[in-house]
Amino acid sequence: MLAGRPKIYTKTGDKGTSSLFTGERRPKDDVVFDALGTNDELSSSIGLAREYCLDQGEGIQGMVSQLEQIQCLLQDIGSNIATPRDLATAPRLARTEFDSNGQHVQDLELWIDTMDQELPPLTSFILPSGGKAAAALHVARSVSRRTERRVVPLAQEQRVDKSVAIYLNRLSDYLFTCGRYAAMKAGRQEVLYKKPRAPRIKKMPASEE
Amino acid sequence: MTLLTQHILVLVPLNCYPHPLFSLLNSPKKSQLYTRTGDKGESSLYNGERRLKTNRIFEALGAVDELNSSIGIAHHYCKKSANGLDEQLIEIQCNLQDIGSNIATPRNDSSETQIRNTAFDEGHIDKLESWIDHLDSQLPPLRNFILPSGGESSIFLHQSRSICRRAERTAIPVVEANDADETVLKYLNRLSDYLFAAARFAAKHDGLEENVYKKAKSGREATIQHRAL
Repeated sequence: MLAGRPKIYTKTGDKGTSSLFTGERRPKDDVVFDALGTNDELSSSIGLAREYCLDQGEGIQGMVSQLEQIQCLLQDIGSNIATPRDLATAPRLARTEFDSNGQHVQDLELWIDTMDQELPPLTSFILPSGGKAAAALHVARSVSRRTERRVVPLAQEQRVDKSVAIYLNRLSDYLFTCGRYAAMKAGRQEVLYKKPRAPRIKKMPASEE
Repeated sequence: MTLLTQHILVLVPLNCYPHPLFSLLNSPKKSQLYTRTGDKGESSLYNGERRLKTNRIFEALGAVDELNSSIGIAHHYCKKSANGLDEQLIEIQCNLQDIGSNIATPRNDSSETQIRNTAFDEGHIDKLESWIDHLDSQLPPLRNFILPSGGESSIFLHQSRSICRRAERTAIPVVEANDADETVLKYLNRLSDYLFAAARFAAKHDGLEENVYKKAKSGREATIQHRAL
């Protein structure tokens, strides 16, 4: 152990509480930590998707840098969630404000529109598929939806900025489009939904039936 | 299923398919994976008690199981890159199995023997701490927030870390009700620190850079940058 180096583990959380940006301690199963933790899961799954996009390379280099920027924004979203809007001081609120002018959402929309122009129209449900990058993007999309579900109740009570919920909503659309775009650039066919048939299997005649 | 078999089912790893007991219990023709006993939304605990699958105990058990699966993927990549973490990860997976048994045996409603058999020892936490210290001593100090990045091993370890946090959150109400041991919470809390250190170590081992947090440019600048791409 190097002298004077702080340990990663503080042990302060062993009793099941953690602290917010305001310094307040709450139980870790508080709704705020649930939202923060889900947001963290989202950043991890985007990290994974980004890695596969890097591997795939051709035609989706722009997506790689977009995803990295999104990971940074999720860090900002974490700061916003960790600073309850109804309790924090004005300077803290100002420092953790998120996308007050809507520009980050507009970026997502622009990125979606740009990719969408190249994509064939959606005529049927698609399944998460289309290669590693595309499938990982679909996983990230579904985690993004879960994050949104955790954030929406907090936004409705004005404990998190509304812009955070809006961003997460648009982010799942962006990730969906990325999934399709990555599949197309990989030259992979997306698997389409087909109604599975459920033939009745003849059972051995049983005396009690 | 009889009470006896439930006992043994928990002690023999649940992810061991086909479970050795199934062949004893059923005729060989039908797959023994599905018991159909859970079709009505209930499942049973180690003490034989049946509860709704939405019960917080199954929520915690399920999250620990997800965590175990994601560590399984991380293990695959760590072994591939020969970073030396694979044996630790397997020991952790075994510990998570024990943690599952602890959670599945509500301290308030189980026999003394069941409680003793499923106790989770504090010593595992000391071991995790020594692993963390060892990994950490080989890492450059943290100066920035880092983003989940740094290659497959590192990223899957970050993913496990974030799922570990969820497992910890879901275990809290169970421990607070004194239904699981406090050592379980301590272990899960320390495990996310371990996974963080392990992720950084894996990136360093693979010679890959970790991306660091940068304050995003204002939207307009980013848009211009995007058009230039």
